[in-house]
Parts: sequence; C-alpha cells; structure tokens
Amino acid sequence: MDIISIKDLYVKYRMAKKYALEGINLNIKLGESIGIIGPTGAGKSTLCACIAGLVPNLVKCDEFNGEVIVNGLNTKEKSVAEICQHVGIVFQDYESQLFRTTVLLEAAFGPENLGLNIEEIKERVENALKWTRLTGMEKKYTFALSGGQKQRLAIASVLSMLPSILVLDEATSDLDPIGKYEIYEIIKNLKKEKPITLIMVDHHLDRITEIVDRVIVLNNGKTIYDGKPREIFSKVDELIEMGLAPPQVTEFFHRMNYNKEYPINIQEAIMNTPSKWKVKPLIEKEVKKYSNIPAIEVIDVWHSYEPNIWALKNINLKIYDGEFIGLIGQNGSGKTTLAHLIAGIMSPTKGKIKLFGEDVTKQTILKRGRIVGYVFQNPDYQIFSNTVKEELEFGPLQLKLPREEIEKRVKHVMKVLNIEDIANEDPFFLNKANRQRVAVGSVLTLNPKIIILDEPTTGLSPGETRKIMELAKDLNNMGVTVITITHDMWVVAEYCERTIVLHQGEIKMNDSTRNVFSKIDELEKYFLKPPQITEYSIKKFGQPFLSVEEIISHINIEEDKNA
Amino acid sequence: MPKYALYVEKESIIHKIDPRAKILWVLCVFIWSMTFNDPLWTLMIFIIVFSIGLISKTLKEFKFAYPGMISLFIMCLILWPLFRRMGNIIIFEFGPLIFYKESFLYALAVGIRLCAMILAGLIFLATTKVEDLEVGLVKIGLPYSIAFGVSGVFRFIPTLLGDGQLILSAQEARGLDLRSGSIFSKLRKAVPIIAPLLVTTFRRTGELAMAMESRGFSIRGKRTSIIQIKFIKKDYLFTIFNIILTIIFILLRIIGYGAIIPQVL
Repeated sequence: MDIISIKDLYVKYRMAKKYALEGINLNIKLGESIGIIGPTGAGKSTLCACIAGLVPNLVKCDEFNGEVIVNGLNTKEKSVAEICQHVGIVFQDYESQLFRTTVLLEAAFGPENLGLNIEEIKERVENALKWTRLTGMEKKYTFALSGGQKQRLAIASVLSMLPSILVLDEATSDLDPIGKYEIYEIIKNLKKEKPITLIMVDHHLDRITEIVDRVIVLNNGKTIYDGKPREIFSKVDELIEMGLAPPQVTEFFHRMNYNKEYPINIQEAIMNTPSKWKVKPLIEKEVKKYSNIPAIEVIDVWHSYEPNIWALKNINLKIYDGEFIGLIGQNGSGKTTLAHLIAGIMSPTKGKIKLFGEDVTKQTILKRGRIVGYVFQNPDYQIFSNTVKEELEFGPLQLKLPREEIEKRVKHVMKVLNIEDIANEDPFFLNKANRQRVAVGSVLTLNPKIIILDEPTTGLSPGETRKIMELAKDLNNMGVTVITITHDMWVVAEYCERTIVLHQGEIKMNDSTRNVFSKIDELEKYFLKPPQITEYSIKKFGQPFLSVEEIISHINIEEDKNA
Repeated sequence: MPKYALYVEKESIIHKIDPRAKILWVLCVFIWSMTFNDPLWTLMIFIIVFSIGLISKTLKEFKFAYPGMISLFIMCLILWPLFRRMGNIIIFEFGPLIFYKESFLYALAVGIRLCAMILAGLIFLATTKVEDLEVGLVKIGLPYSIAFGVSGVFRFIPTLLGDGQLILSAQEARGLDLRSGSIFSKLRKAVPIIAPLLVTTFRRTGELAMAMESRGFSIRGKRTSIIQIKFIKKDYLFTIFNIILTIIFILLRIIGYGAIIPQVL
C-alpha cells in the first residue's frame, strides 16, 4: 500500500519567478525510509511541506497543481489540523520550533490540542521522551537544553502525536557530530519499534546510509534520481557536479578507479580495500610561514552570563597573523562566546584580550570592527539595504572614506565574492548561500585584518559550503587571519591549519588539524568525530589523511610482479 | 543564554497563588492606584505592592527595569504640572508657565501610581509561568488562541531582545555609530537595526507558525490542558482580601480622602 502518493505536482510560491516543484511523481510505501538530497533551492523543503500539508494550506502559493495523497487524505482538501495527525514534521532551526518553557509541556502540546484525557497525554509524552532519550528531563527548561537535546525534543513533540509518517527537514544540520549521531540512533531504534514511514532531508550521506533504504535526488524542482542508496551514491561525478557530496570513502574508491561495487561506509571500505593499494609515508605540505606577530592574544579570560556559571574558564590563546583557525566543539561549549569576546561584542568578565599587541579589552566594538570582521551564522542579522551594492558600501560610508576608495573596495570585494551579477538585486530575496556571501562582503569592505566566520555554512549544500570556504581561503592567502566556527568536520580538515577544541568552556585541544583529528578517542570525549576519510585512513593505513585528495596522492598501486 | 520570559523560579507563596487570583490582584492594584491622587496615598499603594514583591523574592530581578521606572517618574514630575494646571498655591512662575503646588503634588502621585502599576505587572510576570498565565486566561473565558498569543508574547520577548542585541553588535562592528548625532540622525540610523530585526522576526514567526500548526494548534474542539489549576482556600482568601480593600479604597475616595485635586482621577 502506498502511504504517500504524489501525482504531477507543480508548486509556485507567491511572487516567485520559477516553480519550486515541477512535475513531481512519487509513491512511498508504508514503512519505507527515504533520504532526499539535492542542492539548495532544489525543492526539498517544499516537498516536505507539501507532504505535511503546510503547502498549500498554510503557505499560500500562486499555483498548486497535482495531487498529494497522504494516508488516503488529499492534502489540498484537508486542513493542517487533520493532516498533522498523520504526518509529523521537524525543521532545521530548533530554536523557533520550541515555544513552551519545559520539556514536558513542549511534548504535551500536540496531544493537548487533540483533546485527549490527561492520562493518555502523560503516557504519550512518556513514550515520546523515551524514544528520544529525554526521559528524566520532563521538568527541565527548554532553554537549558543542549542543541542536540532541543532537536530531540522537537522530534519528541511530534512523535507524541503518533504520526505514521515522520519528516525530518534538515533536522541535523545545526548539530554537532555527536548530536547528529544521536538523532540517527534514535531514528534507527524508532524504526525497529514502530512501522513508521521516514522521510529525511540531510546532507550527510555517509550517515544516512545506515538508515534509509531509498534515496531521491532533487534538482531544480524535479526528481533526478530515485533508487537504492548504493546505486545513487555510486554516481560520484554526477553528485559532485550538482554540488552534493557522496560519502568520502565512496568518492575515494571511485577516483581510484575501483572496478567493483563501491563501499558506502567505513566498514565496507576497510574490508574491500585492495591489498595492492599501498600508502606512502605522509609528506606534510610545505608549512606556511607565519609572521611571529600574534594577531590575537587571549590572556586568562573567564566569562560568565550568570553568577558562578562559567561559559569560559581560564582561556589562554595566541593566534598569529595570517593563520587559518578552526574552532570546534559541542553545541554550547563556548565557541561563539569566545568569538564574541574576540570581536568585542561582549567584554570578558575577567582577563585581557590583545589585538596586534594592543590591549583592547575595554575598547568598543565600533573601533574594533575595523580590525575584526564578524560574520554571523544568520546573515539576516546584518542585511538591511535595498541592493547588494548598498549593503557593501554601508561600512566604508560609516567610516567616511572618500568616494573613490569606497568604489574601489566594493568593486574589489564583489569580484572576490563573485557577486557582480547580483549587485543591484534586493538581498532579501536572494537564497541563503548568496545572502551569506553578501554578509561576508559587507564585512570585507571594512578591510578587516581578522575575520571570524560563525558557522558560515550551516544549511548550505556541500557545493555551496566549498564555495564559501574557498573564498575564506583566498582571503587568508591575501594575509587575512581567519577563524571559523563550524560543525562540518570535513571543512575543518580541508581548510584549517590549526584546530582548537572547546569543551564545557575550556580549551581541550589546540594543535595542528592533523594531530587533532588523529586522536579519535579523545575527540569522542568532546562529542566530536573526525571526517570519514580520516577515520578510514587511520583505521586502514594507520595514517591520518585529511581529504580524499590527499589520500589519493599518497597511494601507490603495487602491480603484482608475478603476473 | 536567553531565559524565557520574566519568570523567576523561587519558593514563595506568591508563586503558588492561582494565576486567576493574581490577574485579579493586578487589576485591583490598577484600580487602587487610580483611586487616589494624593502622593501619600499612592505611596501607600506602592508600599503594598512593594511588600508583595518582597514576599515573592523577585524584586532583585527587576534591575533592568528600575532605570526606566525612575526616568518615567521624573518625566511625570516635569510634564504633569504643565498639563494639569490647577490649584491655588503658586510655587513659581516662568513667563506663561505657572507651577502650582497642587499640580506638583498631583504629578508626584501620578508618578508613584505608574511605578506601582508597572511593579505589580512585573511581579505578576516574575511569579507566573507563561503556561500558567495561559491556562488562567482560558479558565477566565478567553479563547485558547488569544490566551496562547498573550503568553506567547511574553515567551518570545527575551528571544527578540537577544536578536536585537546581536544585530546591534553586528551593525556597530560595521561602523554604525548610534551614540553621536542629533535625535533625527539617530532615528535614521535605527534603520540598519530595525530592518534586520523585522526580517529575522518575520522568518522566525513563519517557522513558528509551521511548527505550531503541524502539532495541531488549529484543531477545533475541546483542548485538554496538562496543567491543572485549582482555586483553593488561599486563593479565595487572597481574592476576597483584594476585593474588600478595593471597596474600602473607593469608599474612602468618595467620602473625600486621598485626593489632592478631587475633580479628576
């Protein structure tokens, strides 16, 4: 029986120039687990919203043609109130999905609306919390939960509606590696207990292979591929072309011209690595010479938001001019706090901060902004102008620079960012990747010597992530010191020379990226995991390679001499 | 880390009082403060409210609000005598402006009155969880969607403040100088703050609506609430006490006590 059946679905949002979905046909059987992948703007979220009935019932569109039948209900004719008893949907941003104050009340909200009796509500909440491993936290305030717990609570609060279909629309994107892993674990266990149908949009293909039994690739509102995970992930070149990332081990085997079925996870890769693939000793790339001028010095810094609760404890850190630093750690480990202190968004409770030797602890952000540029995770925090060009001009205008100088800077930045063609567009209507570029640009025109990127790639597809990071690399090559906060470990592995691990407000690791990612066990203590290819190369060859590129350049295929 | 709303977790009798009784108390404080316009009498009302605050152990948490209350108080002292020009005893004259003693005392009373009302509101929010407020409003007879809206406003104020703070920092880092310039140039400079705040809130609200709807917010029919509130003996006592006080205060005013300028509230 098909639990979801979509026929010739065309969706065009209000004011949109093109269709978000263009002729989707899809049948999903009861109990199937589907992974949906595709670049940003492919229509993944729209498809999820259509299945949940939010489109066209809540979000109005100019055009909604075709049919979406969910559990026998035609979504166009039913209300969300009715459909939500069959479909539970969870979104990326856990902050805006939680609106009650305690865990118990959040999970009970749905069943309360159903008008069930209290005993049944309590039972459902208890089960939902058990499935999401939140038992015992009923009385906790939701703001006191970690990011991963918040997202699990968002899942619990739809599971308490007992849906037969669960839709996760990039529910893991904002989470640290272990937070993601826990979500996958609870989903796997849930599948064992209930015949629930699962639809998940996720960019982390290496992980979802363990869960989904069918993958759909969307691009430009159309279904491009639909098949078994192995079949889809083996189309390495096609996926990369679209800006998607197949599992790293799959890409590796493909590029080594492996002629049998590609592995799609670490275990398969380790078992199937041909014995004639020999690895050369690791040749470190030429070590970049930094000036020995410290750009940032953090000296004995402590910070607290509430009395006696330290968000940062005794931080001592030197970052040299021209370095590219990765700042990683669990959600809530203090990464953003540290970055805010460096940028002057807040002053530390105790301790000193120096920039290029000058004590700036008490300096206002107004002054410090000329040295440190800060790009927020949410580009909407910065953007307000009518056109992209005006947005870029804003900073230099405030500094009252001469007109020619402003023109020169804006032109240069637009060229670096490759946004010349959208110079006169309204940034509000750009997609997130482009808004993020505009936000970066608006900081760059101030010519900062240090730039901090606070999770710049959250919610972007791997292809777009790469573009933003390439940009950061170009800036770094021009001499700008870059600090990036991210949960994408492959980003750190490929771009950052030094990695700092924060855990519960303390610096736990501070070393070259390779050394940090070599210590798998230690990382796990801090809820982190190295990229798949690094884990694979350590386990198989005993050497930590940081990218597919790197491992390929170190492999020799030993021809069998007797043959 | 943003906290939700103004709720302060403390063990106090005020926290335990039924939200309905507390809503009525706030209304009573409003009536009491409006009943009198003699500063000594409004001061008495303020002291009553202040003592309730002391009992609730939440007064320390309102530090953020005190500067605002004080400036409001000073504004009252300056502005009211200009508009409410009544009385017999002139303190001083300044061209066409005449300051009477009565109007000055009246202004003092109004200043204290407003502070008492604000403080009562703060105490209410600090001792009542947003969900309890919601349940209280529903029990009083408001439709659930309105009750949810009211409590939701308080729930999201801290989120909004947090966003505002970050946006301010983001724009200051880009050279926006809000501290200098005339009031008009300051207003113009607010655009880079207001626009992103609106956009952020707009996007947030959209996502919130989807999350709520997909959890059955708009299901019609009877809604159960997992929070059970009961009006018990202490709530009755508290309410009856408030009502009696209200009647006494109104009677006192009618027979002529507590008013500097008897013709107005």
